[in-house]
Amino acid sequence: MTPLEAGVLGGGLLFFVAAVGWTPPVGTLWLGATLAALAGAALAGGAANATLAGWSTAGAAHPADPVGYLAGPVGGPAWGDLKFVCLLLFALAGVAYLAGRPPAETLVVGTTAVAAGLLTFATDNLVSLYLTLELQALSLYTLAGLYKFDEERTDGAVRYLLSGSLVSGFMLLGFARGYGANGTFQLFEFTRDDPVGSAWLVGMILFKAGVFPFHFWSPVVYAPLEWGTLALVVGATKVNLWYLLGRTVAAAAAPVWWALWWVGLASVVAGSVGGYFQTNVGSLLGYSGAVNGGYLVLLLLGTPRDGGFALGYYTGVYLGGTLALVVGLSVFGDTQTTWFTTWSKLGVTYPLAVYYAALNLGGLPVFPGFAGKLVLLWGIAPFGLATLAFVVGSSVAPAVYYVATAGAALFGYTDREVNPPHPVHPVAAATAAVTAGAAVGTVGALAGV
Amino acid sequence: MLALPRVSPDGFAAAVGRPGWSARRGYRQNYFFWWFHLGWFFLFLGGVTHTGVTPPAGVALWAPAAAALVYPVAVRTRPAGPVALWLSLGAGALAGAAALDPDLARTGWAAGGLTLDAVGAPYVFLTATVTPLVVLASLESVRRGERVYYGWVLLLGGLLTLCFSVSNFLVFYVLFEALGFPMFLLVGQYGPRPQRVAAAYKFFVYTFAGAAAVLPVLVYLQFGWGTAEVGALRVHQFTEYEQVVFFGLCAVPFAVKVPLVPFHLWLPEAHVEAPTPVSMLLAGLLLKTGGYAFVRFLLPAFPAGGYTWGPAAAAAGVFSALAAAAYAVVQVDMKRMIAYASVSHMGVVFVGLLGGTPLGLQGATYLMVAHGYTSAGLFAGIGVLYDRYHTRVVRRYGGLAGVMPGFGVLFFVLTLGNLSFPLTGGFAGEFMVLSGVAHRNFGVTLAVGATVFVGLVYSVWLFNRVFYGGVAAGVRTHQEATPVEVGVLGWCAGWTLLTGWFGGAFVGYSHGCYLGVLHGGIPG
Repeated sequence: MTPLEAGVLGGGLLFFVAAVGWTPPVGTLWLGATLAALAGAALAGGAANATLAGWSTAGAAHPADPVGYLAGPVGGPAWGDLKFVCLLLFALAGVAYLAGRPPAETLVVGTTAVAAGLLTFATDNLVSLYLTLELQALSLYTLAGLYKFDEERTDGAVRYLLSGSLVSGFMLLGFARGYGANGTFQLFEFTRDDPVGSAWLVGMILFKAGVFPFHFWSPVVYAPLEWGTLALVVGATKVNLWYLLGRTVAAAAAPVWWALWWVGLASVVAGSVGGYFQTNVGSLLGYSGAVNGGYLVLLLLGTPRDGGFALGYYTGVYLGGTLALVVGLSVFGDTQTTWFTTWSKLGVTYPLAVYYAALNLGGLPVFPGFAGKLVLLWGIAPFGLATLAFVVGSSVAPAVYYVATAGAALFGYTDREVNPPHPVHPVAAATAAVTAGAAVGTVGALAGV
Repeated sequence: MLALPRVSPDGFAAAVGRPGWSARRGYRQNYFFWWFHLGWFFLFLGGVTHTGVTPPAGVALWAPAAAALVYPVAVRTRPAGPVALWLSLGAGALAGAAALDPDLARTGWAAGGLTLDAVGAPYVFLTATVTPLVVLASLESVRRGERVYYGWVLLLGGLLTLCFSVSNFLVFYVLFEALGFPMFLLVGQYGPRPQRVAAAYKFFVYTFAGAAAVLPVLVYLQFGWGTAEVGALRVHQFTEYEQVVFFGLCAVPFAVKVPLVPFHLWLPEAHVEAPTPVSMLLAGLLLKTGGYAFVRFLLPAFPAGGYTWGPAAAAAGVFSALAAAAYAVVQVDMKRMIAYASVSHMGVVFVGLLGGTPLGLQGATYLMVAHGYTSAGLFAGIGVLYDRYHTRVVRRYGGLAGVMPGFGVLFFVLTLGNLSFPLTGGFAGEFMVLSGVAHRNFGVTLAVGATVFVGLVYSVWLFNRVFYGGVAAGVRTHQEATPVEVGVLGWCAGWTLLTGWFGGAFVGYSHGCYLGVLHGGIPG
């Protein structure tokens, strides 16, 4: 870990302390911490980008990347930008936590989950990879089941734990098999020499990312979560998974790319159909994860040589859009529950905030999500017009249920009294600051293309 | 530079010497107020077009969008309605005057990604003249959330003006989709009944789902070929297969927006549940974006697609026109009846668009413009009745000619336009379409022409039931149309008659341009 990255983590930690410990009454300190975390995140993203840009501009093979898979186009964005995305999402999750009064343990466990995720960016050893992923997973199990008297939440956490443990066991078995076959724990050699082992690893990551056929756990786990934890599990803790998938899928996909292609399409369909029937934003985002996971798998297969631009950009847009929705609803809605039925009047005072977040996630024109969709379609264009038309057609269903989300907030009827925050409320101001940071990052990434 | 008057709470009351009027009711009931605004608009429009000193199109086409941006600032210290009216009139005068530039048919104008020629100018002019009308009609009917409401209306005016003048297909698509967001909120939040939410949702789902079909084509054009600029598309030699596939995919969202049966189901719901001015906006302007897309983008860029799909599309248009007209006959809700009449008229438009002749295209454009005024006026008229009697069911009415004679005359003129009576714009447009299509297939001409008879049935039946016979019990306590209502209906009735008079001039003026739409894209 570089000093810069350590500084970033410190800034993020400071932000999280402020978010959990001093909620709005100490808004100034909190806002300062947010900005510090953002500045740190920007520096870290820049540093990581410079490292990888060095690989790409040199044009030569990195020891861990002889085929140039990790290298971006000259001067362009690369995988390192995902760290920036991860830290940005981490900061946004802190904003979502401000809507409630989470216990102090949330601070420790949540930061551990993100820190463990960041370490996976740095490791090339299967043992440390296993340990960091497990540390992240254990933190998430803990967060999911934090309120032990909440039956629904405990139920989801137990399912999450049991199925996750099963997968961890299989992962360990796969690594042991790989070591037996290859005599090394190096991730790159593992993915280069052992397609079967790589496929094993890919399957494990697909489970953790909630992609078909392993998407069954996410709606159950996400539905009872409060805004802050929901923001953490659908955002910052997923970025490293897509990074890992990018590193392994090229080798794994070579002999059986068609299987992953089918997985991608099936995930899009399963998420689209399942999401349509949800009445809770948590479970909706679980299915949304399946849809977008399918898109990302297709992107990985379709554009392996573009330096990860399409994948990185779409990952940022999708996860940033998801967090914008969660944070927007948590800030502008004065309810702690994520069920649509309690959302009426959320959009009374700030209709555009909810509307914008929902339509952006739906990938509708004018919004950044539309640019993400165009990049997605460009990325999967090599599969031909049929795949393109299929993906476009299936993208209609998620857009429809995101619009339903906006409709629930905007048009629902309730007698509930509404007490929205003032426009200059620190929470709203910080959301604007974080959004501005995201915008700057996006523009910066695009400017490099 | 547009000067905005500062409106004090009693300013308009003082203007007519009626102390005690509230500002809210004052400007709505005030003859001076709206005549002053409309008179200023006419003077400006007539002056600049008569002298030939039209504003630069590059400025004029951005004026409505600029008005939407200025509005949030201007409305902070002033009543929302008058501010919106001033801004829409000012922007409309600039854009409308630019669209009337006589040189457009010959040379056109293009710069900065915008184009104004005889294809887009009629639509820009329609937008420039209907948007202020929508604001005017809202003064008496919108009672809550006025500031936000007028902001959406002005934004729609700005987006529509740009939509009718951009030359890049991708940008047009983005604007076309963006039109749905304000409309979703206008229908869902301002409709009078709880069913408005379902109607808004249905409107959004239909239009968005249809629009998704264009995306693969746009990705191919923008990323695969390098541009979606229509000037470049029309000289590029796409293969016949590409043209047929692209045309077919792109036609879906625009057929939904037109709308064509069976993609029309969102329209009657949206009209019934929307407030009256929003219905005017929807029928008068938004539906036209679908037809415009065919003329501006699809036919010039993919002519072989138009040739291949033409017979099937014409058949769909004939079916749509006849089926919707038959549906209109059996409706008991006035708004729903006019909504189906709109679908029927737009079916005729569709036949003209795909008829493959310049005259058919000209007729389609002309009919859309005429229909914009006629349908907006009819919806405004139904809104006048709904404001008083709170029902739109035809059988609840009767004998209104005796109690609201002025309103009856204006509604009669609009009814004539709706049934395509000679000397109205509807007749001129349908005559051009039928004449154009007759060059290709006389059977299609006869089939489409049959809608005139069905239109006669429902239009006369509606007028007869509402205005003649004994005075229905519910309408004994009555009120003649207010000055604002007369202004709105009179504006639409006036344009219905004017468009009936200038059909021949339009054919001569725009022939070369529409000839280029059909034949300019064929290489060699």
